[in-house]
Amino acid sequence: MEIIIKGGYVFDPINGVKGEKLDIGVKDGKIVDPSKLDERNAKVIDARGKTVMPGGVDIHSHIAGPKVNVGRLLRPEDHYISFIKAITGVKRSGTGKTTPTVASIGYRYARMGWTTVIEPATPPLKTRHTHEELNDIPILDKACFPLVDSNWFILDYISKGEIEKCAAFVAWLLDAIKGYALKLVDPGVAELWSQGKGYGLDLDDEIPSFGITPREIITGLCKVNRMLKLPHSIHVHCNRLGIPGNYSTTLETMRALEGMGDGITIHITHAQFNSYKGDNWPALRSGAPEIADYVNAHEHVSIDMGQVIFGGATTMTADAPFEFALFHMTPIRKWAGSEVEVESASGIVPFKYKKKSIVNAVQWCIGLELALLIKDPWRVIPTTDHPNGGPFTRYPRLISWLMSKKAREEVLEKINKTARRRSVLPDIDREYSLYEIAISTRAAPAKLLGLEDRKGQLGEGADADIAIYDLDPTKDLNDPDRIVKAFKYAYCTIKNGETVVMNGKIAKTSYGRTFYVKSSVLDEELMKGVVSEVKQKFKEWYTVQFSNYIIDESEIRHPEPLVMGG
Amino acid sequence: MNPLKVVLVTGRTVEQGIEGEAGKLREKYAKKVAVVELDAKDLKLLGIDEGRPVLIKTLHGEVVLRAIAAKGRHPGIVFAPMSPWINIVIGSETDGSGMPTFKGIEAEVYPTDERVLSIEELLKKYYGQEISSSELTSQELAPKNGSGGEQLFKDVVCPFCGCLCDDVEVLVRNGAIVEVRKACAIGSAKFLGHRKERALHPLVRKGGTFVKVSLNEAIEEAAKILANSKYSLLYGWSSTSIQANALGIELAEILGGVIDNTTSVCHGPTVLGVQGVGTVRATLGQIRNRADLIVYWGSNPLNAHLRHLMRYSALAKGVFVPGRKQRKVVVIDVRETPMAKMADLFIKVKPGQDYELISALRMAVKELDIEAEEVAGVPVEKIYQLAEIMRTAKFGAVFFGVGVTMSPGKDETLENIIRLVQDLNEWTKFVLCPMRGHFNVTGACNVSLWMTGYAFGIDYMRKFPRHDAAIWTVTELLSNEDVDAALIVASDPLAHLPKRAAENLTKIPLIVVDPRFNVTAAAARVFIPSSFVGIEKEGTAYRMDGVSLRLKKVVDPPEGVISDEEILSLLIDRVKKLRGV
Amino acid sequence: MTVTLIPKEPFKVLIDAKCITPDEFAGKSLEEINSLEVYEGSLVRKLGDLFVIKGDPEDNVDETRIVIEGDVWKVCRIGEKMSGGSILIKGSAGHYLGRWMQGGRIEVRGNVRSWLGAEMQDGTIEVFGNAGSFVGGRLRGKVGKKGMKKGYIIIHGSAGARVGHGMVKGTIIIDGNSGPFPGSEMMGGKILIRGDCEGKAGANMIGGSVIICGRLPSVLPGFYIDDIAPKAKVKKEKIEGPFYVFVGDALASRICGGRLYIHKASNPHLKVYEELLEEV
Repeated sequence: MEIIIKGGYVFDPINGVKGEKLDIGVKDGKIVDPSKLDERNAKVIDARGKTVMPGGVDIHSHIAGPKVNVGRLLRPEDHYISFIKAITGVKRSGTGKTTPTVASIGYRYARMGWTTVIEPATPPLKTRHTHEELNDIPILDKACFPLVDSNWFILDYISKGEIEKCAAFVAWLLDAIKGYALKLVDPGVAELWSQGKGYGLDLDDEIPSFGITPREIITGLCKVNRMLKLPHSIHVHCNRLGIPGNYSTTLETMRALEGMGDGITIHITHAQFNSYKGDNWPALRSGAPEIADYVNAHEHVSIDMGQVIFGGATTMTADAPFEFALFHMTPIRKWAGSEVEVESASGIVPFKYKKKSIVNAVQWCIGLELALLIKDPWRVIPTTDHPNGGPFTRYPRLISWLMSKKAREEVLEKINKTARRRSVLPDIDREYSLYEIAISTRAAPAKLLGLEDRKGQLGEGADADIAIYDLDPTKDLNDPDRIVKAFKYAYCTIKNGETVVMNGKIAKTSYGRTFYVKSSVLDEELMKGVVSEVKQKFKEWYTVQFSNYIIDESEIRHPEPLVMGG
Repeated sequence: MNPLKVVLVTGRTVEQGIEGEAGKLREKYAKKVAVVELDAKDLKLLGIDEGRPVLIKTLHGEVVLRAIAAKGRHPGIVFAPMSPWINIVIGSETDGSGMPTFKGIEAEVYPTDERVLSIEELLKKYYGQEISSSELTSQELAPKNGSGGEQLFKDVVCPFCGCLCDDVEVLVRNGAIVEVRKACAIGSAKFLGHRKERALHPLVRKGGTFVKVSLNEAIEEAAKILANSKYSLLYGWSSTSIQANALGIELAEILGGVIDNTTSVCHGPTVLGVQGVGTVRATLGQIRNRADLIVYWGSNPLNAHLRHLMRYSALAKGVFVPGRKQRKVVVIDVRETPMAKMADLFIKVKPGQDYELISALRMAVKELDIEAEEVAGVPVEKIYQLAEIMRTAKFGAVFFGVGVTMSPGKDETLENIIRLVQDLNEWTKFVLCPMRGHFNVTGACNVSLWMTGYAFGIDYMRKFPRHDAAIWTVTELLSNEDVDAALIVASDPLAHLPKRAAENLTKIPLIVVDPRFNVTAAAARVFIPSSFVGIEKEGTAYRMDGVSLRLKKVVDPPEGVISDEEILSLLIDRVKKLRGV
Repeated sequence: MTVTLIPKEPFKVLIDAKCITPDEFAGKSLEEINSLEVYEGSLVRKLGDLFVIKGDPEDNVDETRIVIEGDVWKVCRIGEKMSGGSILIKGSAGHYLGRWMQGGRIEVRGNVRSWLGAEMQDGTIEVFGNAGSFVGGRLRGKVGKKGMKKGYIIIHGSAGARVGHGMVKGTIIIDGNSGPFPGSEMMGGKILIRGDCEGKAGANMIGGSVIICGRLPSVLPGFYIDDIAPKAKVKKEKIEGPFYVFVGDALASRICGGRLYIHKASNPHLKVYEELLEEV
C-alpha cells in the first residue's frame, strides 16, 4: 500500500520542519521519499489547507492492566453513558468514558490522531494481564512500565548496596515480563501499605523492613537505569503526591538526581499533582513557578503535566494510601484497593473535579502553569494522567488551552474566585505555537521514550504513523473551538501505513505492536548468578512458580523487542 | 405423618467435583450427587435410616433424593450437592441480581417409597429429553493420540478450580497421562480422567435422534441456528481460556445476542457488589505472607478448593507468618462444616441472615450499640468479640464463597461484606477474596470487562454492550423465554440451573460445545466435542485473585477433536457469511 | 386522541421499544408511528412490523393516549422518558417501563418486570398485578441523588426486591407483599407496604420512610427504636397503627435520618424493643 499526502502544512520537529507545505510518501508501513512513488499506484490524500503531523505519542496513560480493569468493574455507570457501536468488519464495539474498554481506547486515540500510547504502571506479577489487554487495543502501538519501587528483590539489593545485582535483576525482570521502562510510584510506599501505613511518606523517611529511604530507591534505580542504558529515564510519581506542600518533595527529588549523568535522568510524571504549596487544602497554592524555575535551570528533568479537566474522572494509582485518603475526601463512596505480593499495591476512587471547588480550580491552574512556565517544550508533555485528571479524550481541549490565552480565560472566568486570585495563570501570556504542540505531543515524548528514530517524526524510514488535521495554520489558529474540533476528529490518521481514520471516522481495525526492552549490557555470569538467587527466593516469596511468572513472546500479539547494548 | 420443615442449602462437594469431572451421565455421578445430607436428629424425626429415599418439597417443586447422614451437626438444615436433581426444587427468582437463591430455602422433607430417578429418567420426566444411544454420545476411552516416549511436564497449571495451582507435575507416556503429582484429588481426577467418557464425534439431531456428522456439517448446522436466530444466548465460558472467551464476545457482537458467563450463578453478586462500593483485594501471596487472621465466610475450601489451605491460606507458610499457629482462623457458616472443626472460632449464622450478621459486625467495629440481643442467631457479645479480633489483627483476610453470594440478599450482602472490610481498614489492614469455582471464571470476567466494560450478563441487541443483571443473565433470560437460540460453551447449565430456566433451555435450538457429552448436550440440536483447555490446548486463565497464568498443553486431543477457539473461529466465519456481513 | 397498539403475534424474544411514548407519537402521522424503529432481538424492525397500530395521533403530548391491547411482557423501555400523556397496557409489561419518566401516567392491568419507574423524575404509574425488582430504583453503580426524584407509583399486587432503591423523593405504595430490601439506600420519600416484607428493610437508608403494615422478620442492626406512633401518613392517607418507629441506618449515616414504621400488631416478635423505649 502506497500513500502520498499532498500539499499539507507539515510539522515535523525532529526534522526541523515547521509548517512548510510538503508531500509525504508512505510505503510498506514506513515514510518514504514521495518523489519515488508513482501517483498512479498510490492513494493520494489531498492535504491542502490542512495540518500534517507525526502520530501523537502519549507517554503516560492508564489504558491496560489489572487496575484499569477493576476501574471498569467499579464503574458500570461510566459505561452506560458512552459507547461505540460495532460495524462488523470495520470496527468493534466498546463502552466507557473515563474507564473505556480496549476498542474505545484504540479508536478514540486514533480518532484524535494519536498512534502510540504507554501504560505507565503494571505490577509485574499481573503483567500477563496487562499484555492481554494491550493485545486487544486496536490500532495503537504500546508499551508498559513495570512497577519496581517496592519490589522486594530491588529493595533488598539496594539496601545491601548491590547496585550491579539490582541492575541484573531489573534486566531480567524487563525481559521476563516484557516491560519497557522503570516506574516508581511514591517510591517504597507499597511496602509500608502492606502494614496499613505509608501516607505522607517523604523522601528521607525510612522504610523499616529494609532500612532504606525513598531517596535511596530513586537514586539506586536511576543508576540501574543508566547502567542498563534503558531507552527511557526512570519514570517517577514522586512521594507525597496529592498532599499540600509536596512541591518541596518534588524539588528535593529532582535535586537528588543532579549529576547522575548526561541527558534526562528523571521523568517526573503528572507533575501537577506534585506541585502543591500551602500547609493544608484550604490554603492550597501553586508551586508551579518553583518547579518550573528548577526545570528551566536544569537539563536532567522532564515532566508530564497531569492536567486536571473539570468533570468526571476515575483516579487510579499504585499509590495505595493516597487513594485510601482520597476515599475519605469524596462523596462518591467507592474505593477499590488491591495489593500484589512482593511488588505493589494500588487504589481506585471515582472523582469529580468541580470548577467551583477551590482545590480543583487551583489544580487546574497548576497544570497549565507548569506547561506555560517551563520554556523547553521538549521536556514538558501534555497529559491528563488518564483517567486520573480526566480522560485522554479531552486532549483537544487541553491543546486549545495551551495555544490560546482566550481559551484559558473563558475557563478562568468560571472557576472559583479565590483560586483565580491565587493563581499566576491569568498573568501568563504565552501561547504554544502549532510547532510547539507538535513537539510536546509527538517529537518530545518519542524522544523521551528513546523511540525518536521511528516515532514522533516524518523522516524517511520512520514508521508511517501520521495525523492529518482539518486545521489551516494560516488562518484557523485564532479560534480555540476550531482547534478543539480539528484535534477531536482527525481528518485522517495513518497507522503503520494504513488509513485507520478518515473524516473523523474509524475506517479500519488493525492491531499495533508492543515494545519491550531486552538489555544485554551486563556480564552473563552476573546475570546467571542473580537469576539463580531470584529462583531461590521465588518459592519462598511468591505463590506462582518461577517459570510461570515469565511471559513468553508468543503471548504478545505483535512483539517488538528493543535490544539495548550487546 | 407431618413433614419435617427444614432449610435447604445447596453447594459444592468434593464428590460432586470429582464425579462431575469424570462425566455426569454415569451412574456413579447420580449416586454421589442425588443425595441430601440430614442431621442424625432429623433422620430420627423422620423415622428413617441413612440411605433411604426422601422427598424434598419446596414452593417450586419436589424431587426424591437419597438421605445420608451429615458429618457435622446441623438439625433443621439439610444440605444437597448442586445437581440436576436438587435444581428441580430451586426457584428462578433472582431479586434482580441474576442469581437464583440456591441457599436458605424453606423446604419440607417426607419419607417416601419412591426411588431416586436416574439421570435419564430425570431428564425424561422433567424436561422431556431422551438421551439417545450412548455409543454415539460417548466412548469409554478416547484413543490416545500422540507419539511414544515419556515426558515429565513441570509447573503445569491445574485447570480445575480458581486456585490454579501451578506446580503440578504431569507424566506423559506414549501420548497419555499416566501420573499426576502435587495436584489435589479433583485436579488429578481431571487430568487422569480426561480421556474417559469422551465424545469424539460432532452430532446433529435429525428427526429427533442424534446422527454422527462431519465437523463441517456440525459447524454449518450450528451457524445456521445462530444466524437465523433473532436473539441468541451465548453462555458458559468459565472452563475455557480467555482466548476462547474473546471469540465468544466477538460472536455475540456479530449476532447481536447476549453473552453471559457462569459468574451470574456463582459470584455474580460479588461483581455487583464491587459495582456498588468497590473492593479491597490482595493476591493470595500477600495474604499467605502476611495474614495473621483468616476468616472463611460461607466458603468451604475443604470441599471445593482442596489445596487452598496449604498453598495460600490457613496452613500455608508465609514470609512473615510461618504457619497455622501464628494465624487465627475464624469460620462463619450456616452449618458445622469440616472447616468449622479447624477453626479457632466458629460462628454459626442463621441461613439467609449473613446480611444481618455483617451489619452487626460493622456496628461493632464502629463501636456503635446494637439493640438486639442476638443477630442472625449469634449473641451480640460474640459479635463484639469477633469485631475485636478483626480490629486487632495485623493483616486480616476474608475468603468468602457462594455461601454468601447465593444466600438471600445477593449483591446487597456483598456490598455489606465489602463495606465491612473497608471499615476495618480504618483500624488495620484487611482484604477480601472471593473463592471462585471454575478455573477461569475470573478470566471470563476480566476479558469481558476489558472488551465490553462489564463482567457478565452482556447484551448486544443494539450493537454495543449493555449490562443489567436483572435482565441479561442466564436465569432471567431463560426462565422468561426471552431468547430463541443458545450456544453453550464449556458449561453444563442443564445440570446447574433452576428447573424453570433449564426447562426453557431444552425448548429452543441449542448448540453445545464441550469435551464431554454432558447433561445439557442431551437436549442439544448440535453437539460439537472440543479439547480440554489446560490439558490438550494452551491458553490463559485467571486465578481467583486475578493473577493470570498460562495453561499448558501436555497431550494432544483425541483425533479430529479441535479446541473451543478453533470451533468459535469457524462459527464466526460461517455466521458472518450467512448473515452477509 | 388515542393510539392503539395490538401485538401481531406473541413475541419470541426481548424487544427494545423506547419509541412507545406519548412524546414520540405526538405530532406524527400513523404512518410515521408505524415506521418508528424498534429492536426485535438483534433485528431492526419497524413498530408497525410488530403491532397493528390504529387511532388518531395527536399533536400535543399531554393529549396523547397510548393503549396497548395485549401482552408486552417481552417489550422493554415502554414510556421511557415520557413527559406527559398516558399509556394503558392491558396486559403485562417488560423491563424499564417508565424509566426516567418525567410526567404523565402509565397504567398496567397485568404484571411488570424489573426497574419499573426506575430513576423517574415525575408522573404516575399504577400496576394492577405484581412488579419485579427495583421498583423506582436507581441503576446499579450509581451513587448519590440519582434515584427516583418525584412521582407516584402504586402497585396493587406484590413487588420484588429493593423497592425504591436509592430514591430521593416521591411515593411508592405496594398493596401486597414486598421482597427484601425495600428502601435500600433511600434518601427521602415514602414507601408504604401494606402486606408483609421479606426482610432487611431500609438497609443503608439515610432519609425517608418505609412503612410496613404486615410482618417484617427482623429489624436490621443499624436501626434504633425511637417511638411508637399511633398513625402513619402517606399522601394524605392516614394509616392506622400503632407503629414501632425505628431510625437508621446508623451504618450509612450516624444522623439516622431514615425511618421505619413497623406495624405493632403484625409484629409481636418486636415487642422486646418496647422495653428499650421505656428506659429512655
